[in-house]
Order: sequence, then structure tokens, then C-alpha cells
Amino acid sequence: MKYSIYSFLLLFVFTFISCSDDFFDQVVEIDIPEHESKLVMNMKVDDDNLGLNLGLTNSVGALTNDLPQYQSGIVTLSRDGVQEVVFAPIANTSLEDPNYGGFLNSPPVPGETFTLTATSSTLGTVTSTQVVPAPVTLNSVTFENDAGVSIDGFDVDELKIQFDDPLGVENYYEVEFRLIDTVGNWSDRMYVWNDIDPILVRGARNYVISDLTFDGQTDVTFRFNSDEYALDNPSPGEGYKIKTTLKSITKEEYLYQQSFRALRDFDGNPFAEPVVLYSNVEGGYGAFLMRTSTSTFITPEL
Amino acid sequence: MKKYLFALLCFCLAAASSFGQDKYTISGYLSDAETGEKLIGANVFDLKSGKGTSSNTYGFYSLTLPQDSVVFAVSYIGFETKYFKFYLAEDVEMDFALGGATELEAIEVVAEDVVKLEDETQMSVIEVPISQIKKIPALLGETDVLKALQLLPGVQSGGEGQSGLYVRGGSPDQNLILLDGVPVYNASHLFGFFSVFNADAISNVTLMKGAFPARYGGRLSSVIDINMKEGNMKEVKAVGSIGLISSKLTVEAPLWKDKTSFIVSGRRTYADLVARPFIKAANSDDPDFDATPVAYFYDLNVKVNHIFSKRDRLYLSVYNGKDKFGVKEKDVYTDGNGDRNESEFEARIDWGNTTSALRWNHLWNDKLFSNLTATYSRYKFNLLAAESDRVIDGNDTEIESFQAQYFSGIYDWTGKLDFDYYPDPNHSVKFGINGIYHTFDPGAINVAVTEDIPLIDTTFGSGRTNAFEYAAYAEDDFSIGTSLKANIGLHYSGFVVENELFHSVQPRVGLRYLAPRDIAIKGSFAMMTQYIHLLTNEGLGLPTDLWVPATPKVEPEQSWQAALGVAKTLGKDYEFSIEGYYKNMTNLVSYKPGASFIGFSDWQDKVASGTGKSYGAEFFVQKKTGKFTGWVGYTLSWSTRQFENTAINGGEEYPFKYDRRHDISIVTIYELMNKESKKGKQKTITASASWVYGTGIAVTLPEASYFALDPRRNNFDTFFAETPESKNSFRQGNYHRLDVGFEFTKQHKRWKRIFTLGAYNAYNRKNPFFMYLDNNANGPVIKQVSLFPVVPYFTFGFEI
Repeated sequence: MKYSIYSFLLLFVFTFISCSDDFFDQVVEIDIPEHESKLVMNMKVDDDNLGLNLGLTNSVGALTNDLPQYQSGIVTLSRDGVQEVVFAPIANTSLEDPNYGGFLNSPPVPGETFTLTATSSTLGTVTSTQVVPAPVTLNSVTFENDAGVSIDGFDVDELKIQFDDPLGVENYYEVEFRLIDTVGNWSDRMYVWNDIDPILVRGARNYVISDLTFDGQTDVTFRFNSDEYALDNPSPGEGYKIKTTLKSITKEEYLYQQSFRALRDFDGNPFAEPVVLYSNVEGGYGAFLMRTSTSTFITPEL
Repeated sequence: MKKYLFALLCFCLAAASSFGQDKYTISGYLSDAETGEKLIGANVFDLKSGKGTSSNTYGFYSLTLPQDSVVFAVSYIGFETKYFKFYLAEDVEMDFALGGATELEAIEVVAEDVVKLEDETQMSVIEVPISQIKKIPALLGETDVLKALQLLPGVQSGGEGQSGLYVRGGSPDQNLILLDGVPVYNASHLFGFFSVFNADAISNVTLMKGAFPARYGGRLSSVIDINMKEGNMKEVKAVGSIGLISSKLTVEAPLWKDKTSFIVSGRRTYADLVARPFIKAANSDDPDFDATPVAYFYDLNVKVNHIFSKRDRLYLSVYNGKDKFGVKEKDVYTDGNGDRNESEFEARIDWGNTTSALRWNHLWNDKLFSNLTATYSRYKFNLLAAESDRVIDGNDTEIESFQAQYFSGIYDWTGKLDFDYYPDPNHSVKFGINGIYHTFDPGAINVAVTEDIPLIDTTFGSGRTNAFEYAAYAEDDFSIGTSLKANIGLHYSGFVVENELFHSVQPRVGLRYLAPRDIAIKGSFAMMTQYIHLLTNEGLGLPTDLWVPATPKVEPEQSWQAALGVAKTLGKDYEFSIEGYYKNMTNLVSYKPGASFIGFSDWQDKVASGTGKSYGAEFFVQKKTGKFTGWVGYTLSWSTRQFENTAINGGEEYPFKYDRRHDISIVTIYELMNKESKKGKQKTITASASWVYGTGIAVTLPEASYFALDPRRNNFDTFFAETPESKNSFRQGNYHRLDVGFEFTKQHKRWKRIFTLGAYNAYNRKNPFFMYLDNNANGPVIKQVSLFPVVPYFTFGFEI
């Protein structure tokens, strides 16, 4: 009996000592380390454009109501260790636009190393490096009208590309198709899909590809399905071309595009895995991307 | 491959070569004298020669000794060790029943304990007596086998109250949970707050965290071998309890005394039954509205066994369990046009396991024991949302309905043949083969819409996949001299899916060296292959997790683990061990960032393959017998994941979500009183407490916001992004909790009363369950949600 009483007493003691004003409040605010603002530097460079646009802003804590601001500083671009561009400020007001600009002396050459550096008096220095990827030649692009049937029973067209992958180096590609109305003079990106081949990874737009599983192969072939209303229902007198662009991108862009895509998919889905947006800017955030492109035009037979 | 086969042949030959002309075999079964229940892992030891063995899963033992007098000791946890002396001059069969009358003349006790921790080759194994598990304080008084295992070093829970196990940095799908030898795919009830194992129906639980013997395969991180009771061979027994959330009843009895017995054990929750009248009362002002909650789980265990002869025994065991949660609503009203509207809505989530096993034990001779098993296992999950509206306008009725259903499942048919061979006291050989025919339904969405038009019914997602998994193994546990023991084996397995064959050869090595002062130094190495994956979103312990097969696109998971440790029995009762381990895992799968089980595409497009590693040290002291029992465990560990060339943390290595640096658990059970009253009634009072402490697990929280480059545009363009710095870069707060419990028993003339009471989270620690981003007047904030405050419990139980 003695032990029974002790047991009950002990339980009551536990219960009472744990009572407080917020006894039933199971949600508490917690402090996490304050975010330290960093420089954010964004720029992408295509091999066919000497003009450069760069955004230099700052990051803010995700738990604040603050907004990023344009940052001023010294921004330079070096080619193979030699400074080539000192960026000049551009007067813009929308933070979505660039606030620095400049020009390359000559087009980027594959294998050259470009280093982008920005120094701010308040946020320190950030750098990012890209090695210009070698362009790759498209061996062939074909279009077949109504080549197959989709999962929901509709006829779909097929686009097939073939190219040679250089041996011994990691290569990353982006494939993009654009439909051009040669009469109406408009163009639009084509929606294409391939849900079978695991090598094809959905990027920010269209697909990005790593050559890890086909390094050095010739006539690497990828197929895509499309279902363009304009091609299925051509109006008399209209003419179409398909512009296929195969971009050689860097590994950093391959990862960036994947994370960008994932961030879009994540939006609003509470069950989805959290997404870390990839950054290749040391000491800060952002993306510095260099790519080379090869394009070809075909006229689809309808 | 050839060298593996050669090694296998060598140790089989070594085993066979140790026959001796002047040796005889003592064999038989070990059982509980009171119930006839077979004793698993009980020790049989000849004190004179120093040779011994232990009983297998079916209570069978075999020990071959030279012709001589023997002093036989038979011991098992919770039973008094018994000693027998006789002269061995021929092969003899001896069945020993512990805890009751013996067949042979007992002699005086000549030694203390006979088999100690340091005597065993196996490391990384912990057995917790089921009697001890039942006394550990539990959430809402619901004794839980898996949660008891979470209190052991090297094992972590998924979150507050969750029954999932993360063993040495592995994930829950990497645990091979066997109920009577049949895999259980989802071992949780009530979204993981309780496990499916009813402790009243369980006889034995063993956890292996590494050093896997060759007989086990198919998972990377652990084996949890749970055996159901067989049923009382002597008399009718019933055990039951009424608790806060569920009631249980177990009945076991002989159908034919000492020949056939059965056990039936059932458990059901009744939260929904209690809630229904309150919900009806709350809606009493609207008689046309009816809401019916559905919230329950149940499980039912049945086992029958029959002894045909000393050589043949048949078992049939079945488990069925189900969870169902949801709500049904019905509303009838008249709209502004005077039309009668009838609206029905149903949302439901249900899942459940069924396992069944038919096994035949056959004793070929006193050295060779076999077990032939046929099993069936099924796990199904179903998520349903349905709405139907009927508008009745005079004679016209318009019907609009919508139904969306998400379903997945896995179904296994298995055949197994296992042999135990005891050629002499220095060798214990096990070998066997098995095959599993898997059928996977890896998640599909079915949508049906009716709107005065023909039914639109379409199914998206992954189709049904069949696969065949097979394995063969051989292992020998043997002694080399007096100090060195080894368990060496080989496990070969294969998997055929989508016309592709995967196979692997997995060597298993365990060594024990007995150093001076009886300190055992143990080492092990084990390779494992897992042919099935579980797709799960980190942090959500939902049954929406999908079991999927390895495929040519998503290859089998593989691991190797090496461990080194020291073990010693301190004093009479205290077992002490310390182990360090390193585990490397490849082809681990994870949802790609942004992906989830929701969606119409094939699961293979949503996952990425990567690697993982974990390493650490575990310290463990356990006392299994006496008035005071329990253990202290401490784990220091690291665990990481890496998915190269993917967007998961930019391909960089990151901490696994359950990377917990320090983990401490203390479990104490103390018998405060055990006495007989003046009326001759036995009364006991037992106090128990468990305290756990763990440093925070890793979480991903948004940290920075900035304008990021939008790669979709040809021209410079940015968008406003909110992103973590890196995956799992934050740590939740430390977790600690004290549970206390008391058990009062009183033996009446015909029955025994058991009353338990206690408190979960006794000092009301607000432990982190999850964190989320919220907004208040000053801007966004991180909030932490705790799940359970102090939760008192009581149960009333009985034994007849």
C-alpha cells in the first residue's frame, strides 16, 4: 500500500511541476542564427554575344521582411587570368534587371577559363569561375509526324537528334526546340517530353543531359515526343521550321537548371522534398553560366 | 566467385571432418515447463568439457561430446539454471523443460552463469526479454516492441512518438522485420505512433545491427527477428487488458495436450467509437447533416502448432492488421430553387499488412534439423477522396460525382528451406535456399468523374511489376582452439525484374578472440544487397511511402559494414560492450528535390540514386536478471548522404536527416515489492523509468532570399528565390524525455490482476516534432511544434 501511495504521489508531482501558463501550448517560436547578408552575382554568357549583363544584389534573411538591394562595387571578368572587362554600372530600377554591363573583346573560346569577381565595400568579395564548354555538332535532326500514341491515346510526333559526344571529358548539354512560322513570322518554344530515358533530366526549359553513361559515343540518339497544335492543324499557306539548339553547358549549369526546376515543382507542395537552389558563387550566392550553342533548322513534313 | 565457392567448400569440409568415432550426440528440445512454449536461444553447456550450444528458433539443440560423464547446464533468461549429471555412452535425446519438474536428477549448483556475452561470436546483436519490454513505460500504456528497440544504442526513432527505426544511419526500409520469418513491410499503426506487434503475442525479439550471419539477407541495415508465441501446450490461458486507446485479448490453449496448441491474440482501438456520439451531439442542431469519423486500427495474430512426432512439427501462423482513418459526411438541404440537394463526401486513408506462414520442422537425425516454410505477405495502401452531389428537381435527378484514389501495395509469395547441422561441439552449420515472388503496385492514381456523361475513368502512374528474388546461404559458427571463434558464411542472392538479372555474392565474417581476463574482442564484416527500395519523403512518416523494386534504371542498394568491439560480463549480471562501426551504402534512392508521391509520372522519373555512409561508436551496459534490471546505452555517430550529379544539395554531401551526434538512453526496472499476503496472494509492485537524450536531428529551413538567375530566358532575367543554404544545415533542439511507470499485480485464486499507471514525458519537455515557417506581425518566424505534453496513462489487465 505504501508503494502504491508513493507511486501516485510521484505521478502527481510530475504532473504539477510541469504545469505552467503555456502548458498546453505545443507551438513555440524558436530563434535560428541570423542570416548574414551576402553578395549575389548573376550572369550568363552565350558564345554568340559579346555583350554582358550582370546583376549585383545582396541576399536577405528568409525570415525578414527586408528586400534585396542593388549593390555597388568593383566587378571584373578575367580571361585565362588576364583581366578583360571592368563592368560599368547600368541605371536600372527593377531588381530583376541587370545593374552592371560590359563587353568581351572577342567571343569565348572553348577551354578558356573566365573568372568573375565582385567586391563590395560592405559585403566583401565573391568570385565564380567557368570553363567555356566545347560546342558539339548536331549530326542530324529528324521530325516524324504522328509517330506514336501518348498515354492518353492521342497521336504524338517525334523529334530525334543525333550527335557525337567527345571522349574523355565530362560533357553536359541542353536541348531546345523552337517552332518558327516562316510566313507569320513568329516563333515559340516547343513543348517536348521523354518520360522513358533516365539520362534526360528536365531542366529549366526542355532537357539537360549528362554524358556520364555515353562518354565518347558517336551518334548519340535521343527521342522526344511533341504535340504541337500548329503542326497538327496547319493552315493553308503557312510554313514552319523547327530550330533545334544543342547547347554545351557546364556542370554548374546542369546542376543549376535541375535545382531551378525542382524549386518550381516544390512550390506549394507540402509533401515535396525541400530544394536548395544551386549556386556556384564562392562567398555569396548566384550563378555565373557560360555555354556554347549549335543550331540547325529543319522543315517538318506534315 | 570461384574463391567464394572454394571458401565455402573449405569450411563445409572442415565441419564434416570433425566427426569422431567415440563421440555421441545429445539432442532435443528446450521448453518452458509451465506452458510448453519452446525456448529460443537457450543455452546448453557441458561444464566438464567447456562445450556448449544454444537452441535454435524452434527450441532444438544438438551437442556432440566425447564418451564421458557430462555435467549439463541448461539456462535461459528469466529461468533458474538447471544442472544435470550423467554418463554419455550413446546418442541420446533429451528434452528439457525449464521452470518445472525435470526428467533427470538435479545436482548441486556447481557454477554461476554458464554462457556469457564474451562466449558468443556474434556482435552487434541485442536481445531484450519480452517480459522486460512489457514493463518499460509506454505512450498511452501501449506496450510497443519497436519503441523498446529505439532505446538501444545505434537505434533511433524517426520523430516524437514514431515507431520507425533508423539503425546505424540506415533508413527504415533497410530493416528486415520478420514476424515468424515473414517480412512485414509497414510495421506501424496510427501513422507510426504504434507498431503492429502486439506484445502479448510475442515470445522473442532479436535486433541485429551488423555482423549479419549469412542466413539473413535482403536489407542493408538491420534484422529484427520477432517470433510469435506458439500457444500453451498444457492448459488454457488468457491475458487481456483495457487501456486508454485500445483493448487486447490473448487466448492460448492446448487442442490436444502436449500435441497441438493454438494462440489467438487481438487488439483494437476505439477512439472512433468514443468520438461518434460527441460528433453527433455537436451537429444535433442540423438533423440533415451527418458526419461519421472512421479512426481505428486492429491486429489479429493466430498461430496453431501440432507435434506429429519427435521428429516432425507443423506450424501455421497468420497476422492481419489494418489502419483506417477518415470521415464520411452526408448533408441534405433544399436550395434557393426549391430543389433537394443530397451531398456526400468521403475522405479515407487505410493500409494494412497480412502475413501468413506454414512451416514444417523435421529432425532428420540428432545432428540435422530442417525447416521448410511457405509464406505469404501483403501490404496495401489506399487513399480515397470522393464527392457526390444529387440535385433532385421534380422528376429529374442530376448527379455529379468525383472520385480520386491513390493506391499501392506489395505482395510476396515465399518458399524457404533451412537446415541446422551440428557435426560436433565446435561447429554449428546453417545452410538453406529461398525464393520470393514479388508483385509490386508502386503507386497509381485513379480518377473517375461522372457528370451526366459516360464515366471518365483513367489510371495514371506506374504499372504492376513482378520480380523474383532468390538466395542461397551457408554459414558455420566454429571454434579454433579455446580463444578464437568465428562465424563465416556466404550469402548469394539474385533478383530478376523486367528481363534483367541482378545478383550478388555477400561474404559474412564474424570473429571473436578471448583475451586474458575474459575480455572478448570481436570483429565483423558483412556485405548486404537490397533489391527493393522505399520511396519516402524525409520527415513524413506516412504510409504513402512506396515500396518499389530495383530496376535497370534504379539498381539494387548495396552496403558493407565493418565493426570492431569489446564485450565482457562484469560481475554476475552486468553485460558490457563497446563497438565501433563503419557502414558504406550505394545506390540509395531519394525523391528528387521537389518530387513527391503525388503526381502522374512513373516513380522512376522522380528518384535519384546516391551513396551514404555512417560511422560511430556504441556503449552498452545491460542487466537482464534480478530485482533491478535495465540498461544504459550511449551512441556517438555520424551519417551522411550524397547524390552526385543531381540537384539534391547540388550533388554535395550533406548530413542525413537522422544524423544525431549523441544519443543516450537509460532504462531501469525495479521490483519494489514481491511478497505473499496473509491470505496467500502473491503481490508485486514494479517501478520503471526510461530517460532518453539525443542531440538535434538535421532539418532544412529556408535561410536566404535573393534575386536568382532565371535560366528560361534568353536575356538577363531574375526571379525572387527563397532557399536553404544547404540541405539539412540546421539542427532541431535537443530531445530528452522521461517516462515513468508502475505495475501492480495481485494473484487471486483463479486469476491475476495487473494494473499499470504512468506518464509519458513526465516532466513535460516540449520536444521538437517539426518546424515550419510562419508569419507574425514582425515578419516570418520559425515555429516549432511539439506533439506530446505529459501524457498520463493507466491500463487494467488480467491473466487467467
